[in-house]
Amino acid sequence: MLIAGPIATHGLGGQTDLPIPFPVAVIGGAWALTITFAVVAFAWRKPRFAEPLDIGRPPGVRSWLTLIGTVVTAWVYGALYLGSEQRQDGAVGFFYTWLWVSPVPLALLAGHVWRDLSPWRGAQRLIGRALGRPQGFLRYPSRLGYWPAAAGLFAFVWLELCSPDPGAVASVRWWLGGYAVLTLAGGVVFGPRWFNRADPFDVYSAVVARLSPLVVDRRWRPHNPLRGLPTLPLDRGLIAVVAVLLGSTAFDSFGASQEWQIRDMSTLGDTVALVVFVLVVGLAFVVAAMATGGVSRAQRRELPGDLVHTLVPIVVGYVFAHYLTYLVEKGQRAVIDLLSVDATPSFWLSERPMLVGTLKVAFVVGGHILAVLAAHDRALLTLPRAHRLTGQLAMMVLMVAYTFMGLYLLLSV
Amino acid sequence: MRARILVAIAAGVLLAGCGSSSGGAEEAAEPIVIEVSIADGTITPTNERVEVGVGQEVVAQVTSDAEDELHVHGEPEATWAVEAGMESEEFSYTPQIPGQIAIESHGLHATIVTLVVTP
Repeated sequence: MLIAGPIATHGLGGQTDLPIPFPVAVIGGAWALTITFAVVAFAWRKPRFAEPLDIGRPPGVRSWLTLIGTVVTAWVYGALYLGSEQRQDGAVGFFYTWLWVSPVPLALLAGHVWRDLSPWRGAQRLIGRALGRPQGFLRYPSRLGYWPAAAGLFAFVWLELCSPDPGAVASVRWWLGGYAVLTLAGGVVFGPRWFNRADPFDVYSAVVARLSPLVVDRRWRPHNPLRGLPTLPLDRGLIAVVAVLLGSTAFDSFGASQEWQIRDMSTLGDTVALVVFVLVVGLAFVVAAMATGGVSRAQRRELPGDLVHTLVPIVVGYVFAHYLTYLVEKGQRAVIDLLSVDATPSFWLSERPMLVGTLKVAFVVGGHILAVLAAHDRALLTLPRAHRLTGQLAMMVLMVAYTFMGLYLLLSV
Repeated sequence: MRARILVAIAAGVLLAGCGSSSGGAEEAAEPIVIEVSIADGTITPTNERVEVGVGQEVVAQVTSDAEDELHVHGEPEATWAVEAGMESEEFSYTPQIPGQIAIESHGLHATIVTLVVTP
């Protein structure tokens, strides 16, 4: 039985991790700080990852993956709306663990396979072919950019962190029902572009896939992930997508802290706080990206977009640190409930708090280091020669601030 | 009867954590007792943190003037049905896995205590 706690963080009730050990956090912080300034001061002076990775012709859709994705999705929806109480709980668990967290490890390992797995893309292909409109009926409005995906991601984290009863079957039914209708309708009307720009999970996966070291556009091709990262397709709202991901994870940690819990916030109060977190994370990035000398007004406006891909490793590191045991352990529970089998999850990870703590810090610091290297390289490319060092300082300080905040939150809750 | 450590949280004094740490699931660790009182729509304590060892029993002595449901967000989850007029009714939970376990009042929407379970 899944119990919706009154102030359960994460949507799902249940046990949470121990705070990370203090010495591990301090060592991690020291590494992050040292490496950051070593990069600024001593690293290469000519851009190294600017040359765009040759993507080539993307492979066709792998229908067998679409079949798997469709079967899993049908099973989850069936369990959620028609299943026994245990299966309903399993579907809720699946929603918060597998649907929300698994796009990240999946995209890192296998690239943007979500594109093949997505049952919505599959349905759009069939319907589009049947109606003779494979590209949809209307052009996707370019001014929308990634904004619908950012809104969808925000709707998810709002349900998880702010809504009155995130663990309730009814809440998840509403959310997933609305998502299915919108995604399918959007896909049929606007064609495949809808999934590239508006489906929150598809966009999430596509963004993280650019950091995959093994795969380029769904083809096995090991490479330096710092070369893949700058190929992230820039469009309006991309900064909002990243800010929602980063800001909400920070809010989630913060929301679990004792200082916040004793405040006993209303839904509205929590919503305002979540919006503030996302705005602060996003605006701080924009300001730090623009803080350089020697550029014109127009160039300055371009800078946040030029640098937004550098935040992706920070998001990924933080998601892993935050959701590792959650995905592995609550994810097992969700599968057990969905299949309605009699089994007990393995708590191998939670039984080793020192290992979990060390991994968390390693993820956060590892993400930070990749982000700093990416930002350094991009600064060499975009900033005028005289401002190459000073121009990247604000971004480096911001990244250190994000990382220290992340470590502090892992330490204190 | 085994001796018990009384956690006099109502007075804000926390004596917990004595029996925890080394030994983990060994029998030697004594149960930790938490006094919970629900009266006139308020609950004490709230948002306390108590250190517990894995395998160490936690006993809540609940006194209440109202019906309520206390949720133990651990692995496994537990629900304690509180009835009006209970006097030092004992509920017991033994944490099995390291982590943090919130014990929450469903009726009053508050966290009573978070068990910090160390191996």
